[in-house]
Amino acid sequence: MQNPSSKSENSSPTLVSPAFQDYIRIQSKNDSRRMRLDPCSTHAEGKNPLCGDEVEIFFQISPSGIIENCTFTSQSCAIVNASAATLCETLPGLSIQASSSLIQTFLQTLSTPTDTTLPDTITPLLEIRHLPRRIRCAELPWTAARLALKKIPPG
Amino acid sequence: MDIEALRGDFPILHQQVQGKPLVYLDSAASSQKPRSVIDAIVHYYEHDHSNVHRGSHELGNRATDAYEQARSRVATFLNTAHPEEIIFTRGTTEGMNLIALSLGFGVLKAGDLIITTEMEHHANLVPWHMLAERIGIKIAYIPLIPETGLLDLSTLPGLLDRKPKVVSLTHISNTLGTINPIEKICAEARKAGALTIIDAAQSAGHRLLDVQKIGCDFLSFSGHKICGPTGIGVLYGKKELLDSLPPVFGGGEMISTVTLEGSTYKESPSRFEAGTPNIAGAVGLHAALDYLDAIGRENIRLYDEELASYAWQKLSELPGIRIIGPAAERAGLVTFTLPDMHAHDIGTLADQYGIALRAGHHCNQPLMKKLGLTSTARASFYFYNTRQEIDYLAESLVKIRKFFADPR
Repeated sequence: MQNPSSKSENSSPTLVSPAFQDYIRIQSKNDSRRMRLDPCSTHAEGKNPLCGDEVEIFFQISPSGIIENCTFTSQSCAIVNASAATLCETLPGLSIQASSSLIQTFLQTLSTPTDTTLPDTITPLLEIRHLPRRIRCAELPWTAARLALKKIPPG
Repeated sequence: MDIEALRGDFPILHQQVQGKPLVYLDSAASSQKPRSVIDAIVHYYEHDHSNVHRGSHELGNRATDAYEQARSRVATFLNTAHPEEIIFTRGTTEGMNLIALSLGFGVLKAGDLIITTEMEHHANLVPWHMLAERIGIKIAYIPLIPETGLLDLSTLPGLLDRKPKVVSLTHISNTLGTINPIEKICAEARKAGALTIIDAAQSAGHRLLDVQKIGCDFLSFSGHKICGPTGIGVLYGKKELLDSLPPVFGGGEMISTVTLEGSTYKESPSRFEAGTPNIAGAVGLHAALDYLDAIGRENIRLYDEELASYAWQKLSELPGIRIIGPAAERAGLVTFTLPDMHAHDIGTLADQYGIALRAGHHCNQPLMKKLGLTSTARASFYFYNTRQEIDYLAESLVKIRKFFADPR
């Protein structure tokens, strides 16, 4: 029998590239935007029932339709948390329309790589495509954000 | 038991995953299959396959004999009086749904009360919820004591005073490892006039099950959790009850006569086995039961408890770990959380060490909510696991936590 032994294995587990490991580890602990926004302009939850991930995205939007602030709360895995933190860093300053378009492009790119250039803040997250079973974790905050923005009446 | 020799019977265990020897700690989700089970299925398809019960040729006879011999084997496995009390299903979930639906069609009515528990797998909750929606049955729950992982059985007399029609519960919790005193509960339920149903998914392959001793009216388990193939399971039911209940699935095999005006039905077990069954699955299950009984289910139970106790002790040494369920008298699984690490990450990173864990709610969402959790990691053992594998799990969890804590 091949006895399992940790003696011959001293290195950290290989998630994907070391850079991606670091990105997930650090970004998942980025709590700068991890808070409820109350009051907020809109918010929405995302849940992955199979793995127990729960995230909620909050937006504060100016009267002219510009995202002033974006925060999240989460009881989720590291990839959801890192993805949520990235989302909340990326969207402030964009209009609702631009944000919705960016969310759509990001979600499409996760499943089908495109030539569309995404903001530098998002690019590291794309390596999750090498872990197909975890793509839905990376998607969760973004689908919640999309849902929240859809609640805003047009105009 | 010679664990090394037993491990040698399982071809799948001897592989590398992510460059590491596979450490399979997910048998509560599905067990692995010994060569004898695989060979039995292959032999069946190479030599004996045909449809059952309706053929007039040699292969039809062989297939029918193999199928019915499997049924008789399950009967002896459960110590039932009659093989007709064994209905083949796709698994525990189908068995639970089958009995719930049949009771819903023929016995239960609006306002009737079902007693179950707060620790149930969804397979023993959702079918009753569906009946509540469709015909208006009521459901009450034996509560869980979160601190101990045990049912609060002091509530049972009061619940039984409400004259339930059915008491349906799990023998062993797939998340807590709690072993419920089903003989006692069935006896009390019987006195109160209730039918009893046992979810034996986690117990069937891990200890002796004697349905006459348990005293239940129905019992359901899955073949794939006890070294058998997927797609086959068993619903046991007392013959007089099964013959009085309406069938659920209609079609070939379960009818006596069919006219344009209507149909009449056979008695159990055919009554509940419409269409072509999973014949190869039954053959594989037969081989699995033979394999388990050659080891001895009491030997398996003792080894399960030894591993569970060792795992509890070993994992308890990890700072901050929360192990769910009773500390003693538990089945061979350990479900836990680690601080600042989601169970999903524990499972993913454990996989990088070759360790197969399960992470999530384990089809126990109400239980998770009762415990104040959304997701947990579970290591579940069977007789092909070793103490060294538990040591490796503990060592790997230390490394995984260190990886996440690294401030780099």
